[in-house]
Amino acid sequence: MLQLTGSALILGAALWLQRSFHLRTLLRQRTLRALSGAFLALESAVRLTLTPLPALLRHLSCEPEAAGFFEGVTANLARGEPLASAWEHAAKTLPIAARERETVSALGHALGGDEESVCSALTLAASELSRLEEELRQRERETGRITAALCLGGGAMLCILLL
Amino acid sequence: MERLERIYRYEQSCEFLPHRLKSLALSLPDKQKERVEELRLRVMHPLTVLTLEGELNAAPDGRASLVTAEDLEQMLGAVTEYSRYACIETLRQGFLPLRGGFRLGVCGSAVVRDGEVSNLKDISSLALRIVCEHIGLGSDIAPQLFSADGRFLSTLILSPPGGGKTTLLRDLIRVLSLGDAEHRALRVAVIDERCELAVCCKGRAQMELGNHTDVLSLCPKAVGIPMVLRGMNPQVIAVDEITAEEDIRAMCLAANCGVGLLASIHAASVDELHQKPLWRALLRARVFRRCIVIRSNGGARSYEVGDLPCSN
Repeated sequence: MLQLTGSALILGAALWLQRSFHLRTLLRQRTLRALSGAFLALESAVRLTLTPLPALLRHLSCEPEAAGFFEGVTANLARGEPLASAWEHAAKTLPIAARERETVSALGHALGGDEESVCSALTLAASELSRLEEELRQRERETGRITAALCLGGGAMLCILLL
Repeated sequence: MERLERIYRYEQSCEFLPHRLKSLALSLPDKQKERVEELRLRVMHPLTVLTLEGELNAAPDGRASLVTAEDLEQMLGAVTEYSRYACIETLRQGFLPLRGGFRLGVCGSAVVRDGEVSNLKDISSLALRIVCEHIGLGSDIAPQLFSADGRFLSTLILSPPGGGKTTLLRDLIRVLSLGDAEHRALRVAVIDERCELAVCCKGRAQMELGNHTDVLSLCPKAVGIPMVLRGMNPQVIAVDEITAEEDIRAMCLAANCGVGLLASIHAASVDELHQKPLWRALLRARVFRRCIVIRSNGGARSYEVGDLPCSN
């Protein structure tokens, strides 16, 4: 009985590990998608209204995964940080990989120019994040099952060894 | 009181400076603060203040106040809310109107697209102008600009650059707009092409111009005058610095509609006005009846009101 319980716990832990990898990847995908959508919305807002960025960020409607980032930028700006630095600090809190974070951080340096350059930078960043999100989704499709198999297989192997 | 007001305006202007330079600028003695007209920031040069006597270092140790490119970028970023695209209309003309009635001149590398300046980058210098109102300056002068039957007579203000034309013009607008016991309030339309009279910031005039004043900002005079004639039913149109013949033509149009005009022109005297090419256009137009000549005498200014020789 004890051995069965132990095996169940080990297999449960393996399942939990696999699920947590999967959820982390899902969160990354959702965050990238939300950021990409928000950057495109910002680009439209800049073109149509020419409203200063802090006001645009305060009233930007976006997915919850991106909302925290823009709230962070707004709060950093309110503290007197320059835009590029406020943007970079907020980007550090995003649940994304280093390469994706680099794309987001670099955008902060490109937002100080005229309408054309700001809108180009936003469109470019949105497009790059969409591409990275698609890459991630592709990779997840290919390796997701392998990860699941490894986790469950490893758990089963451990059960057998311990039994 | 005026002295304290000028010191206060100087200290208000220091709020726009980067923190490091702000404390240096605030350490200037009060005697100098009240005489400062501009704060000048140039890359790799000490922070200076412009007074009637010339430019002085803001700090005794000039090295401590050495301005860096980052200082200028930070200051420009802060005043534009990191959104130059939102201020591009004025920025590409080389200036920014700031809240509180201040004005920031910007110098750098121009980005030219299709033959027009679309942006300024690599900012190399900034000039923060402390625009001061002189409430009451025009109170004694304004009554002399009316005819015996109470009509406002179109008036030209003459002075060399830096002579105080804009300050006087601003207060005359205010006085005309408010009216007094002898003269009723007039509807004054201001064509504030370079945002120096009203210094509008986000649609709000930062200077006192009276209760019956309408302001059209950043619009060329020749275009703005017909606009306000059609839309605002002015009794007086005020413009700063006539510089082109099309300005005169637009003012003739206004005069023919029975609208009074209040304008300024660079000239130290009526004799100097005769030397200017625009004088012939003014002579032909016969629009202006009065002139105010501003003279500087050892720091004090005098205002001579008289008839303009080109009138009938």
